[in-house]
Amino acid sequence: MDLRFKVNLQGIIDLLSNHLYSSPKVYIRELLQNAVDAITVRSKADSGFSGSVSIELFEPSGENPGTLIVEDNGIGLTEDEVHQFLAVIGQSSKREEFFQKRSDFIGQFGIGLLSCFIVSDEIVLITKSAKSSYAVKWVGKYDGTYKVCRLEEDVSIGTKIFLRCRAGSEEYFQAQPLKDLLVHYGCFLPYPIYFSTGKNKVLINKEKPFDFSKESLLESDRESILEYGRKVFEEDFMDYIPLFSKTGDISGVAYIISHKMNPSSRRKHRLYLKKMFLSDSVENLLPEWAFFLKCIVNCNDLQPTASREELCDDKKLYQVQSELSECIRNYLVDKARFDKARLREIIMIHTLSIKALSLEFDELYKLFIDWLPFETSVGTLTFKEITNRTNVIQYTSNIDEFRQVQRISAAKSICILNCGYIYDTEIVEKLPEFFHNIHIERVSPTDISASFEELDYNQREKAFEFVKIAEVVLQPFNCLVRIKKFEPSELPALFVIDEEANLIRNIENTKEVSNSLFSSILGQISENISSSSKAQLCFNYNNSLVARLINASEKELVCMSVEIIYIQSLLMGHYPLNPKEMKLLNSSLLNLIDYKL
Amino acid sequence: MDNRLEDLILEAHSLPEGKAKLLLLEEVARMADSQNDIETGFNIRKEIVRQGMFNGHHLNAITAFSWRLACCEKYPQEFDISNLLWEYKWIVNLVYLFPDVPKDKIEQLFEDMKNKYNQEGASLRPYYCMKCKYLFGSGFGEMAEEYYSKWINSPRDSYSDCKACDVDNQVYYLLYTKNYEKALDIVQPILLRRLSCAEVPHITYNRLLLPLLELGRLDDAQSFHEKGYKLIHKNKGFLEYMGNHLLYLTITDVNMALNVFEKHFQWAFDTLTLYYKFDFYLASWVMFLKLKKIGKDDVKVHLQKDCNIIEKYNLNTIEDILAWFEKQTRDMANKFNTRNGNDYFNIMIQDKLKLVDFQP
Repeated sequence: MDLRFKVNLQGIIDLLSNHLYSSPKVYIRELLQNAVDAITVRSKADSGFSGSVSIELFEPSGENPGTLIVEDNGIGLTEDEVHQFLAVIGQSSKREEFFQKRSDFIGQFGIGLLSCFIVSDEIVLITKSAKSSYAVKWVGKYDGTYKVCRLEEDVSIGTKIFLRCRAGSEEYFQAQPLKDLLVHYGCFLPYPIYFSTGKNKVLINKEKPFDFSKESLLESDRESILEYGRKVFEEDFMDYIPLFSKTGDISGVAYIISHKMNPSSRRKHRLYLKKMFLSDSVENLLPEWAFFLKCIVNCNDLQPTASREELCDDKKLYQVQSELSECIRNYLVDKARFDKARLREIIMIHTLSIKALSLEFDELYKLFIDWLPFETSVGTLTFKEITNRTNVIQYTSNIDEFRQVQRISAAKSICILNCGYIYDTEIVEKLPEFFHNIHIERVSPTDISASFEELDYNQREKAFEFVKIAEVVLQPFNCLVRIKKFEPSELPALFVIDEEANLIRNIENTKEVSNSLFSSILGQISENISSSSKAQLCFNYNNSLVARLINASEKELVCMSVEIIYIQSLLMGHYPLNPKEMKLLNSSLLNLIDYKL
Repeated sequence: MDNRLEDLILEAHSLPEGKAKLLLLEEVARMADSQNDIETGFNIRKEIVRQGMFNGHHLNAITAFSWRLACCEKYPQEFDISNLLWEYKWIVNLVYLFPDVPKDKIEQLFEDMKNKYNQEGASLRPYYCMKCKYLFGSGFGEMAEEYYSKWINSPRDSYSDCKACDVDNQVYYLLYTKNYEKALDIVQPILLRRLSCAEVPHITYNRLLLPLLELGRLDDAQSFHEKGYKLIHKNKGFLEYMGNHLLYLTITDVNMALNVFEKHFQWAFDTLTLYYKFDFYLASWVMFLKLKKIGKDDVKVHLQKDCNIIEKYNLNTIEDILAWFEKQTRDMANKFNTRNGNDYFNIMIQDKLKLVDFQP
């Protein structure tokens, strides 16, 4: 004989509450969902019917555990349905088949009710179906047992659920938090939801500036929609964009955040599913670049994940994302035409978002490019201001190189763009596609130092001995020696290093401090990276100190000076000294003192 | 800590993931070092390890890690080694991607990782898993089998990979051993999104592409290609997986493959991580062979300026291009084979070259 497993209900509930749902409070959502579903079904059958839900709370006091009563006048359950929905838990294949047919439902009755066991040991449900002549009472217990009986007395059509507060769950049976929770979940629900604590009765879903209908989103007063956003998210917004998507039957509002956002911060949109609150941390509703928006959106036809707190990542969702992004684009294009001030404001605050967007859509690239700001060696300039100065755009592709270049180019007041930040390189490299008169040129610190004025033959001959000594001195430090003429002349030398050489320097320095295993691993790797790129120390022929060193006759003095200039240029560039260099610093300083004495 | 250092840290934190952030973090580390601020140096390098690991700058990650490790060994009172266990498994998984690191050093590294895990009383599950990956990724299939069994039979603890990654790694191994049925079975929770994380299902889709083509499940393969590519195409850290998308497209839609090649070649060209470079170059070689096979001899290849091999090396005909990729790929394969003492990378080349004629 085949035996059946017994499933421990307490265990299942523990699993649900601790893993599937993000908080025990979801039982309120499940109760509201069941009520709304029941009303929806009844109103389909009877158009004259007006549904409503009442929630009554008796707070726990003294000996009395609290009780929560949720009543709806929806379709109700027949005795058969009670057995079918409330006794079988998680019977997946049947359940899916069953609920697919009823896709106009938000929830799944039995599973939803189960979540009430998170806060209650006993659930009593009294229901009368519109299809039945008598009412049924179901009593379910936390230990997994339940009873069903017919009721003699007559009750009106609908369902009434009684939850008795479990000892320890009192916090969920307090009037104010409960009311807040009901507003949180049900404020957009299409049927009136009432809440009372015996004395006064309040309507939970009072009128809103919009109810997700197209008319309300497009025609409501701008200020009141902004005000609503302020209330919900507790922050000010610059403006909002009405959103619509045919796919998923979606509508809502995207608020434009009024401060800078970090693109890697989590986006948290508030999503309603058939006007029932689903989640306030949906991340994947909008495309990635839309991190300057916070949405309140309702969808009627999208699949949430099992926890019902996120959207399933499928083809349909991509379609939704692309329709919503169309709304955002249209808004921005519209601003570019009719409200340039606002667009400029958005670009200044949400530069990264706008840059990402420009890369995604050529049409927007052309529209926005003039306004996009870039960090340059002469301060932050918009693209328009840059092209007013020059049509040869010079840029570095990483921050390190920019900082080195900046030191040199500032003296010459050349405008060089720092494209080390995300998107900037891609934006600049796209320029020639759109503007035929603009040339772009990627520069590295070595390019800049290469562009310094060369010495003439006589000068080279004069400096020959000096360069030779310097090369010998710096050879153990993997540093090349150059001598050129450049501004400012107070600068005796400049240490330049490109990305790869910098990495090698970093590896070499770390090798010195690492344990023997890592030291040999790092050594083996760095040895084989192309050693073509090296750091270099470029001496300034225009500098008076260098001029004197070139003429100096004492070789020892020149060596010491080169050592100190090398160390000093490292320090100026914030390059930490490795032990070898540290030793050099100490010895050459002491030697110098010694020499002088 | 002085103000400039503090400002720099704030600025670094405000930046999105990527190279700019990494370079700023490196600058913070340099400055902290020059001020002898060991604590800041230690903490900031944790982020460098993470950034480097997930954004494709693996050498920076290894370098920062070895600095951190040295710190823990030098000052065990101040810096607890348990801080490093999580990162250690990333590092062992990176080091063998560089063929210049000799085999005995890799072995020593795994030994050291194992000792550190044992010292902290941690489960060896991550050690077995990483070693298994290294072994089958370097052609030591038989030894890998042993480690696979140890891995899945060890308990999970707080140093173990997340569940999603763990299952993904198992799928990876099962696919490698051609145990498709079992792989497709245990991958279900990932496909149903019951398990997910920052890299899963992104990389899982990718692993399944070629096996699904082999099994004739073309619709699934196409859908996984679309989803997977969309998830990884913006982050250079996923270079490792781009080769598979390229191969998939080479078989199903070679024009599209060329697009993807043009878009991501720069990643492969720039990377110092030779294993991944090899992977992408091999896929590119296969793609150009396919283009030639279907008569597209005059194919125009558009590459960004600094990785434009066509101009740099005067690759005027498709034969030139093929020869260049073949040489590059074989040179790298030789380095790995010499290090590993086998011919596994040649076998990989042979296997992938067969895809030129593969009809799904």
